[in-house]
Amino acid sequence: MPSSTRPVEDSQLPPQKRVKFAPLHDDVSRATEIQPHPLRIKPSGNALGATTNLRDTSTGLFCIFPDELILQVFGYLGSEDLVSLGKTSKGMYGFSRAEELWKQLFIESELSKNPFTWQGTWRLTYLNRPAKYDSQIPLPNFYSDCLYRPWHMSQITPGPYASRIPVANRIQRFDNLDPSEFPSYSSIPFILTDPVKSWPAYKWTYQTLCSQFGSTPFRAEAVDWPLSIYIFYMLNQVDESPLYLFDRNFVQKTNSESAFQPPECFGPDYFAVLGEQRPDHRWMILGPSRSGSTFHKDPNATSAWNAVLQGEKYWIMFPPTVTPPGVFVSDDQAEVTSPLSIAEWLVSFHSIARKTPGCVEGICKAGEILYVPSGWWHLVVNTEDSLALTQNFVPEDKVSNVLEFLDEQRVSVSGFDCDKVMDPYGLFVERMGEQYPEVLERAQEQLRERREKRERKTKWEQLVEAKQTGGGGFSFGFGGGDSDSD
Amino acid sequence: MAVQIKLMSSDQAMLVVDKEVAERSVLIKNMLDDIGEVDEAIPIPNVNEAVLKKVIEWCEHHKGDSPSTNDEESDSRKRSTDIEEWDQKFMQVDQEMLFEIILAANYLDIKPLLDVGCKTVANMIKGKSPEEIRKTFNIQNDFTAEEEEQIRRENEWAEDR
Repeated sequence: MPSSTRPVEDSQLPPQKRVKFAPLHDDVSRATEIQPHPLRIKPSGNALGATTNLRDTSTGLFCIFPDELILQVFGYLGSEDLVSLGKTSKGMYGFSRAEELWKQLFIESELSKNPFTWQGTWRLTYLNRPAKYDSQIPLPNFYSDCLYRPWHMSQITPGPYASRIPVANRIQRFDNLDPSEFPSYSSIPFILTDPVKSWPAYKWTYQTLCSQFGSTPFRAEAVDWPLSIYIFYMLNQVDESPLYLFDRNFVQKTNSESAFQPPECFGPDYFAVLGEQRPDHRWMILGPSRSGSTFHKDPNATSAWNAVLQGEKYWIMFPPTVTPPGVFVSDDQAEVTSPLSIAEWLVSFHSIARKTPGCVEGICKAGEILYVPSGWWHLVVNTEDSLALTQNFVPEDKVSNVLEFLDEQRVSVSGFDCDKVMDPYGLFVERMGEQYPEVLERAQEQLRERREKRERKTKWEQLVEAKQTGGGGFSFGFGGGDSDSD
Repeated sequence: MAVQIKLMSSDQAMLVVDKEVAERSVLIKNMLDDIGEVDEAIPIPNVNEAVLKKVIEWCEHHKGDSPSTNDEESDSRKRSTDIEEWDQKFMQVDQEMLFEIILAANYLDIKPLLDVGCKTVANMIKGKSPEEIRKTFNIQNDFTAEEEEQIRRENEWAEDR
């Protein structure tokens, strides 16, 4: 239409209702349309051009506190006090309605342990108030990142970030692999497009599960909710980080032992030798677009598969030695800090991550299964409402990695019942020795070789370093001995 | 004798403190770890003498506490606002001083003091009517009559639970 290409004079423009980025052909991240905050709160930066800011003029003594501190104080209050606060002034009205406060209140309360009606937000759900009865007093001259940012992030759609994956980054895709071919691919992620399509579980949808198991509680992070309530929540929330249903007992709950079958190419799962002592290892995952897992490695150096039954997941992954941008790991690898929500990470770090050597990305669609090799970093996000099954396992090629992890990273070993299993490494070695002595022997040999290589390398590095620094031996960050304990 | 260091408040007052006491502040501890021993006073540009003295008094009393790391307590964010007796007395100051102590604890990164401060303020809100809260914290009611009516109506929905 010719008229739309003509420049429009400012005076002709209607009052701007929403921040809209026109989709650009060469940039994936611009197609996101951000709706205004329900209370018209705006980012702090916008205050620079404003004459007043309710955040400062309408908060009394609290005006000297940073926003985070105001919310920290209010985090100690119950619902009645928050409601009272909200009646005092416009500034307090804004702060007292922060969703993070109400989410915390609701999850901690008895209300979330009994059947309830999801009303669209955590606050309305806690108060059991239908949205149409809610006052939404606009606060157009209220500028606060703390209050605006979670809303903004809830409006991010991951789809654009998952598109236009550079050719060099693409995760390999195969119809299927033969067990004899798997060892050549066991150290890189790949997607298989065939095996899941013959599973009975491939026919599952959250709708059919809901009709059969709607009243059965499933675990979603800190809460156990009946599936029907979770699904209603999933379809009607505006959370920055939506609750992610991640249930370890789904096989019993849905009586589905024979509904899925790990692809044959992976061969035997050697963690099965642990029997009853094995940590939780398979889960059903359900969540809306934007839900998912921030960057992590799977526990105990296990590998994993993840099969999408409905919807679609975007994966971005890094090899074990490449820490993803925006992620911080303690020297002993025991602690991973990824302070950002998935949406924030996508907005802030996705473009740099994509250019970081080692990065691989892919979309796993319904009926496809993705292989996560031992030790690989991964962030996974649903680009649509998605249902999936996942399992941690130990293929033959990675037995040595698990031995190494259980032996050397004892503080990071997880999932074992501490009362019954004092020494997971010892238990694994013992059981492997009983059931697969040859596999164990080969794995131990591999581990010995790897340790020798590492030893040689360390000595070489020490020599090189001594030369470079004239013997001081200063190393940044990953130093072993000279810690800050004085 | 204990190692001592000097702190310089925003209003240029010099305070001499045991290193152990000052290191209740993660900010100061990290600074000392980085620069090693110093003779000069460490500037604390955001905190005036009166407030800094109060903060040091708190650190003195709590110097024997087990070191606060990022413990689980902060994760589960205990809603309890119980405060030990000494801290309760310590926090009996006027509102402005209380708010300044909290800001200083935030800036100096003294998490247990920050928590006690926030709990104290929360306790000043608990159970109060909107009008009492306004008085306590000097908040001006800037709602129009119509807006107040809207809020009154929405809360009718909250009360029948």
